[in-house]
Formats: sequence, structure tokens, C-alpha cells
Amino acid sequence: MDRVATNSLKNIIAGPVPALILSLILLIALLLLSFAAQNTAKLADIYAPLLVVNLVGIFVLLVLNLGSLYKLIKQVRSKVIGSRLTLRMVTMFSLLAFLPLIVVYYISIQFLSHGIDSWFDVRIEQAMSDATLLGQVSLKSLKEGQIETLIRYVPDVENTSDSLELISLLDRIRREEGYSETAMFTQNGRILASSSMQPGTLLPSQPGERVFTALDSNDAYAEQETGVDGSRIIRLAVIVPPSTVGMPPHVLQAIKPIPLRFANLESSINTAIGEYDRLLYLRGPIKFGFIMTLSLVSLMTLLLAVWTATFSARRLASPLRELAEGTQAVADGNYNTQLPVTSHDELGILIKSFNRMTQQISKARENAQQSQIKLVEQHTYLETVLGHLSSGVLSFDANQKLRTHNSRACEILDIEELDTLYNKNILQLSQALAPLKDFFIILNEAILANQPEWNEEVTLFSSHGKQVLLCRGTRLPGNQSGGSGYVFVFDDITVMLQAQRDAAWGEVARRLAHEIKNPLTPIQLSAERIRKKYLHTLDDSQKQTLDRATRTISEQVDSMKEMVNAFSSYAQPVSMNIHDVDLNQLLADVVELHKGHFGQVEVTLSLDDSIPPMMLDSGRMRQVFNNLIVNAVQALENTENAKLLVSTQSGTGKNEKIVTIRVEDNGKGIQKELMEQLFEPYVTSKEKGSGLGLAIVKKIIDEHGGAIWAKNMKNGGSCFTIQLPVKMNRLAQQQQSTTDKR
Amino acid sequence: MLVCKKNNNPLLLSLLLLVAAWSSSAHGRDMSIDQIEARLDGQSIQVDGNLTLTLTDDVRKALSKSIPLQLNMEFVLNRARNYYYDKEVAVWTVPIIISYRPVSDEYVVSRPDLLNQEETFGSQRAALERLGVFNNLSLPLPEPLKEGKKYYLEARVKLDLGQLPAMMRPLAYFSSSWHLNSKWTEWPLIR
Repeated sequence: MDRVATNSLKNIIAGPVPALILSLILLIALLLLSFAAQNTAKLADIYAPLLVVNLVGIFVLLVLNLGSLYKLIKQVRSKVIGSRLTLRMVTMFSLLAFLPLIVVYYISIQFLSHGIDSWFDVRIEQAMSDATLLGQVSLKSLKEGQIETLIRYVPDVENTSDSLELISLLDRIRREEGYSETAMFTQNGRILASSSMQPGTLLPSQPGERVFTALDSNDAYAEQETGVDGSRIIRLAVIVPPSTVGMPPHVLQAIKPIPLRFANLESSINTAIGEYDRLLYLRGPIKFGFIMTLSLVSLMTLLLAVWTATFSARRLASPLRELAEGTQAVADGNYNTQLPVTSHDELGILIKSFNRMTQQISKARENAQQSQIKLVEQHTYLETVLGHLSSGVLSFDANQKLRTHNSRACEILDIEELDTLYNKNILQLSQALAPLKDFFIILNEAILANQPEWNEEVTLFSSHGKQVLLCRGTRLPGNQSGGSGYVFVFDDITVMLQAQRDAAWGEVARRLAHEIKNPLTPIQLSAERIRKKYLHTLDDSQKQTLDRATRTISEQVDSMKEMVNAFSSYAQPVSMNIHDVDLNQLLADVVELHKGHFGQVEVTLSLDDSIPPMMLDSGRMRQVFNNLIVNAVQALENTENAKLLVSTQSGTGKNEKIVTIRVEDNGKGIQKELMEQLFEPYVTSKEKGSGLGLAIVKKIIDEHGGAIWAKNMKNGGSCFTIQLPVKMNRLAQQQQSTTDKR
Repeated sequence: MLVCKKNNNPLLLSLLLLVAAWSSSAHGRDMSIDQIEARLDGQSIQVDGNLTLTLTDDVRKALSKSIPLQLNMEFVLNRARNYYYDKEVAVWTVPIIISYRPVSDEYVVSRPDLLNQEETFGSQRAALERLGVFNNLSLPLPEPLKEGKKYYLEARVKLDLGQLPAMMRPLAYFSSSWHLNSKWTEWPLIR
């Protein structure tokens, strides 16, 4: 049987139908029992089965009720929703049924008891008793009379010894006294003689043992009996003394038919008195029967009432329980709860309203979820946009607390993480991020100014050097509380500014080279011609002066040519000659080349062997290292314990492998006022320097995609740091990949 | 009426008797079968026997108040079997009614199966004594008995509560003093 069929069967069994059928059967059985109790002839015979059916039915009802109550109490203890209400209703309904029932039962018992007692009138009872006594007296009198009559014949019988005479005497006695039979017996029952009304009767009616037993103690016996033909008779027996001394006495028996009328009357009186006696005796059992029937009816009514109360209470509480469970489900977050509408009364309306409410809540929740999803999508979209912006973004709410940022902001500001600083206001941020204190103070001032738009170039100084940020601020639309936030967008324009500056310097250099280089050769040639033409024509003093002047012009022109060539070199676009270079080897070669110039300087080479061959222009990189080492050696002049450290180290940058080269000395360091413009042309601390050395160095590094910066060391001296991306040819890349995997 | 039937165990009455068993079990035996002699006589069994019939006060009082009582003498003829339950061959119930006539102050003993055969007694005791002795009670056999097989007769006497007036039955069923019966006794069948 499948589950649906099982459930249907279960519902039918648990439903009201079986109980109603049982109740109907019990009611019919009780009704029949009631009729049977009234001694209805046909039903009296099935009294016992009816009683059994009722007892079994009541037992079943009792078990059903106890089971229901046990289940209900268990539910109450388990705090099942609705069970308390059901129990309360069951108690109330049961009391409502019990109280009137017990009153009716008590009154009915009283009424029944007195009613049955009243059936037996005292006078009738007395009359019946008197009639019985009268009948008994009459019968006794009749018997005594008959005995006396029979005893009168005893002397005659006693004196008759001849058998024929005895038969004749017995015949005479029978006829004279109207006996149906006379007979003479010995004491052990042997027939001596007899006479009968029926001529064909051979043997007389034999006196029983009880007759002889009675005659043992009395001289006479007279008892009524029913004859063989069903007629009523009186059996008379008397002792006949022996005629001879020493002989046993004999028994004279006579059968006296009772007149039919007398017999009928006696039978009628016997029946009537017997019926009355029986009825009188049955008064107790009748009461017992009625009271038992009434008790059974009451008990069954009570049990049915309790069962009905339980069933009704469950039915009534069922929608409330479902409603409570539904409410609980909604409270637990199940907004799709729908309850079955089983009735169209107020509870049905309530359940419909509940269903409507949950539907609306569910819809609202769906809308909220969709809004949430949209919001998340928008947020993701915004984050994606912000994340891919080349500009840094920071937004602050009306309380100046950080609300949004993008990854680019962290990169520009060189901050690891900003998420942990959310909900901190701008001043707290400036304290938490001390190197950016000035930056946040400027932003704070912009917020306080509360201008719709704000624009400013902010310069930051960090370990990487000067950083120029172009910041733009916009006031955000206010919310309902009236406050408004601020969003800042900023770009790192340091590189751009540097590029602009480099381009400007390049243009200057190109123009210088173009505008100055051209006249230099005529000037030099002219000086040479003047010298050649007029030197021998002048006297010694003038000759000396001219010679010195033309020589100076020629030297200065050469010097200017060199300078112009340098500018030209700086300004010219370079064609790179990139190839595999062993950086460590290159550095070692350069150091070795300058070994003769180091003097007292202690040179240390610290090279990282793991650096792979790199794609570099070895000539230009040699120029870089030459420049830096020469600068360092020059900076170490007049320095005690002069030390020069040249080191390489491989590492990982943001997205690629890098190599860091440091040229560090313990010389006099870099002047602070030069630090900002150290890599710009015409910036030098040397008397004879062109100021293009570091500018060219930076240009070469830029051309290799690297970076260079300088800083003064705490213990004196300066350090130039170069970072180069590791660019390898394909073969080298494969080799490096294999090495990394190992 | 002498009844010959295979099964006479009314289920409902048995249930009621079970309900009252607690009381009857506590009550002493008021009836007993003292002696039974069963002889095979052609197609019937002739039974002689002596019973002791003692009525309780409640029953005696009811009898004296003209409530007729029916005593059933129950006989079961079984064939003994060695390796299985004994086979029930026949069952007989012999009813005997004792009643009281108030006017003539006599007790009448009769057998419903034998018309016009009633005996009157002046006292209850005499009537019960007479009831306790029966001779040549004939029990007809439903089928001839098998030769060479061993048969035995089970006998019991009991007061038939179902024959009481309807209004008395509930009380009788629930009262221990009305549950009068002897034990089942076994007697050999003499061929």
C-alpha cells in the first residue's frame, strides 16, 4: 500500500466516522439493553450478549478516552502549540457534560428505586400471604380429613386376614370414599392387596421410599402429588397394626384424586402467588438491572461526551495551532508559509488574512532581496570601475569617516590596507597613517571649506622621493539628515611632470645643440685664422696676448662643443642595443676598470648569484655604472675610511621580478637643496660638472623601464638605488622557469 | 431436555463468567459428583450416579421465592488416544428443573425432556437428595463405538444461569454465590 493510501486510511481511522459508528452501535445496544431490562420477552434472551457488547463498547471508549487524554497531556508537557488550549476546552466541555449528567443520574436512581418499591403494595403483599396461608390451611385440612377418614378403616383392615376379603374391603373403601386406588403394602413395599378405579390396572401406584420413611416417624402420610396422567392427587398412607403380636405392621395406601376445579384453583393460586413471590424477590435484581443499565448509559454518555469534547476541542484548536505554528514559522524566517483554509467561519477568515499577510511579506522580501541584489551588483560595478581607475579614489561621509576607496588609492599612497580604517574620520586617518598626515590635513581642509568642487596639487615626500598628486574633490549630494560627504579623486602626476620636464629639457638641449653648435665651428675657425694671420705680425707682447686669447677661444669652443655634444647626446632619441647581459659581470668589469682611481677607497662588491641574464643595452648601462661610481669616488674625496659598496639583489616587485642595484658610499652625501632636482639637467654640486650626468643616468634607466632614486644615509653618505625589471630572452626564461620549479 | 451436541460453549457467557471468575474462584465448591457408573448398552450409555448438591443461601432463598432453577448434568464421551489429544465423541446435557409451589408448600423436580414426570417433595433437602441420585440415565450414542478402543466419560453438574429470569441474570453473573458447579470428573466406560 502506498503512502497516500496509508495516510487516507489513517485519516479515516483517526477521524470521527469510526467513533460515530461505535457510538451508534453502543446507543442501539444500550437501547436494547434498556428494553431487555424491562423484561421484553424477545430481548430478554439476548440480555447477556447486549451486556457484553455494552461493556466492551464502554471499555473501548474508555481506552480511546484515556489514550486521547494521555496523548494530550504528553503534548502539553512537550509544550506543543495549541495543546494547552485543547486541554482547557476538553476540561470545560467535560465538566459541562459531567455536572448535569451526575445530577440527572442521582435523581434517576432515586426515582427508579422509589418507583420500583412502589410497585409492591403492602396490602397486596399481605393479601397474597394470606391467600397462601389460606390455601395451605385448606390443603392441610383436606389432607387431615382424608387421613382421619382412612384411619377409620384401619380396624376393619386390621381384622381382615383373608386376602379376598381384604381386596373386597379395599374395594369398598375405595368406592365409599371416592379414592381412585387403595392398596395394602408390607413395610418393605410388597403388595398385599389392591383395588383400583381402573379395571385394567394390575399394579397399584408404589409408595416411594419417602412414604415409608415418613411413616417411620408418623402413623400417617398425606402429600399431594402429580399423577401419571398429570392429574393432581393426594397420596394417603397409614400404618395398620399387626393382627398377631410379633408381626410387622402393614401400610394402607389410598390415592385421592383432587377435584379438577380444586386442582385448577390450586394451580392458578400457585402460579399467581409464585409469580408475585418471584416478582417480589426480583425487586432487588430489577433495581440492580435498571441501575446498572442507567449507570452504563450514564457512563457511556459521559465517555462519549469526553470523547466528543476531545475531538471537538482538537478540531477547534487545530486552526489555532496551525496559525500559531505558521506565526512561529514566519518568526523563524519562513515567509512562504501558507495554511490550509478548512472552514469559512471567523477562524477561516483569520487564516485567509494570515495567508495574505505572509504572501505580502514574501513579496516584500523578494523585492528587498532583488533590491539588495541590485545594490550588490551596483556596488560590485562601482568597485570594479573604481578598481580599474588609474586614479585613486577616497570618499568620506558627512562625519568625515572613510567610506570608500579603491586599490589605486592604496598604490598611489603606498598603503597596504585601508579596509581596516573604515569608519575612522579623516583626523584619525592622519594619525594612523603618519607619513600621509599632510595629505589628509589638506583633504580635511578641503572638506571643511565645503566647496562643491575643489582642485589642488599636493606634494608628498616619502622614502621614494617627491610625489606630486593632482587632487580633485567633489561634494556628494546630501542625505535625508542633511549631511553630505566628499569624494576625492587623485592622480600621481610625478612621472608625468618629470616626463614633461625631461621633454622640456630635451627640447632645450636640442635647441642648444642646434643653435650653439653651429656658430662654434666658425668661431673656432675664425680664432684659428686670426691667430694664423696676425700672430707673426705682432710684437712679442701683443703676440703673447693674441696667442692667449685665440687659444682661450679655441679651448672654450672645444669646451662648449663638448657641452653641446653632451646636450645633443641627452636630447637625441636613442636606439637601444639590447642583448643578454650578465649584470654582475658588467658591474664587476666597471669596478675593475675604475680600480686605479679608487685610491684609499675600500670597495666592496656584493653580488647576487641568482640574477639571470638580462636584456640590457650593455654600453649604456656601463655608462650608468661609470657615472655613479665616478660620482661616488668623487664624493669620497677627503673622506677617512672611505667605503664604496656596490651590490645587486634579485627580488619581486608588484607584478614582476626585479633586480635592485645599490651604489652606496659613506662620503659627504647629497645637498638637501639638490635632492629634489638631482636627476634634472644642470643640477650639480661639482665646479666643472655639466650637470647632465645623473640626468643621462636617469634617462638610460627610464629607457630600460627601471627607476632610480637617491637618498642620504643616516650615518652619512648617499645611496643610489636602481631597480630594473628582469627581462630575459625566451631561452633564458625557460631556463629560469626550470630553476624556479626545482 | 436431553441435548446431544458437539459444542455447547457459548462464547459470550464464557466472557461473562470470566468477568465473575475472581469471585467464583474464591468460592468453595458446592456441588460434586461422588460416583458415576457408565455402561454401554447397545446404542446408548446407561449412567447411574450419586451427586452432592448444596445450594448457597442466596440460591435457596430464590428457590423458596418461586424462582425455578435448572441444573445441567453435562457429559462428554472421549476416546483415549496414545499419541494425540483424546477425541471428543459426544456431548450430552441433561437438564433438571427444581421449583417451588407456595400454596402446596412443595418442591417439584422435573425433567423437561420427560413430559409428565415430576416428583413433589415436602422439603428442599428431600428434593435435592432425590436429585442427587439418578439411575439408568440413558445417553444415546451418535455413532457406534469402535471396538478395542478405550472410552471414558467426563461429567459435571452446574447451575444454568441462562435459564434464570432475565432480570436476575446480571446479578447472578456478577455474584459468586450463583456460580454453582462441580469439577469435571472422569469415569471409565464399562462395555
